[in-house]
Amino acid sequence: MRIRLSDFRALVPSWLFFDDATEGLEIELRVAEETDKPGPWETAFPRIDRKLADLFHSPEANLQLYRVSCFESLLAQSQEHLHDPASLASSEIYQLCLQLVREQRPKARFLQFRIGEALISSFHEDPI
Amino acid sequence: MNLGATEALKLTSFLTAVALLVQNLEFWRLRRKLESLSLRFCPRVFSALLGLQLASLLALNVSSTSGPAAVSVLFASTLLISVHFRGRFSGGADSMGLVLLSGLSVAAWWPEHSSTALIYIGVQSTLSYLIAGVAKLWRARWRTGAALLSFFAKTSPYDVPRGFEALLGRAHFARGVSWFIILFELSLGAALFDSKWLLVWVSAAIAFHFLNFVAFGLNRFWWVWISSYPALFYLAQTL
Repeated sequence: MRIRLSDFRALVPSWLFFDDATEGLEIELRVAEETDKPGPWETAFPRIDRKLADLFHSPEANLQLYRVSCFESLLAQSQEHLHDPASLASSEIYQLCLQLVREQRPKARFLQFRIGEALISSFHEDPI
Repeated sequence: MNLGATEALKLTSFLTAVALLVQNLEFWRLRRKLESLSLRFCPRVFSALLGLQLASLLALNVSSTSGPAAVSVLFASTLLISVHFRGRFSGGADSMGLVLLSGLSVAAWWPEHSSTALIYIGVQSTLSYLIAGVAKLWRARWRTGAALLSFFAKTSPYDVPRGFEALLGRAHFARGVSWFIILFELSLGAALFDSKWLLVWVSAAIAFHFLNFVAFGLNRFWWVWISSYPALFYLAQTL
């Protein structure tokens, strides 16, 4: 556990609520048995049903928003790793995003994700 | 609507407690699912923080006045829960929650500065609308409505009703809705100077945040921003 100053970002409100660079992200994944035969791209986080009671208790929708927020952060950080793309894969935020995608397809042998057309990960293999 | 500092603080305290209780219960529900993620603290520490937050919330609402210890523990546990997610779980809702708690903490420790604490919350609430409005006004994609459609189509956790997507797909409608949002956010600056208009504006804001919940799943924003409205009324009285 290593806490960073940026983890306290909520203490300094920005009130902007959106970022032009990451506006309306489309996050997709594909799985494969062999890396040269990937399946089709599909939405990484399928949408959920809307209910009025969600106003009082909406854990799934908030988790979904958190996932998107993590990918926004990854896309923003990817600009800092343009000179060395491999270093992005070892960053904390990349690993977190990979975990978020991985939990959608826990049994997939190989898995790849992309954010729009802008950032495409390499294939990741986890033990089945 | 005339609110004294004591009434405004009690209302703010109650509404903030409800807003944080909603968040707390959502985290309890997500706890197991989050265990596999590399977050800042281990699952046990996260559970302890949730327990601490819940206990201080109950203490805050059971007592007639906000005890300094309860509010301070609530502030610390809420901040650390935000840190657990690297400050990214609810973005602006996390920030507004901490603004409310920092104001309530000041009022609890130094009651003679209650007025300043309420004004601070009211100013932050005002800035949240004005800055968001100016930022949208500045950006061409918001002025044309393109940004709104993009957020709705791709960021919402919910399925988009076909009829509404088709409506937003019409350039004139999307542009109209965008401009309505921009003007609504900016109009708070003027509404603060007339108590009747402020009442109308706040009623519209409650509906606005409800629509944001329906469209984008932002239920937490609805609760925390409503919690800041007693301070808005108090701020207006001081102008």
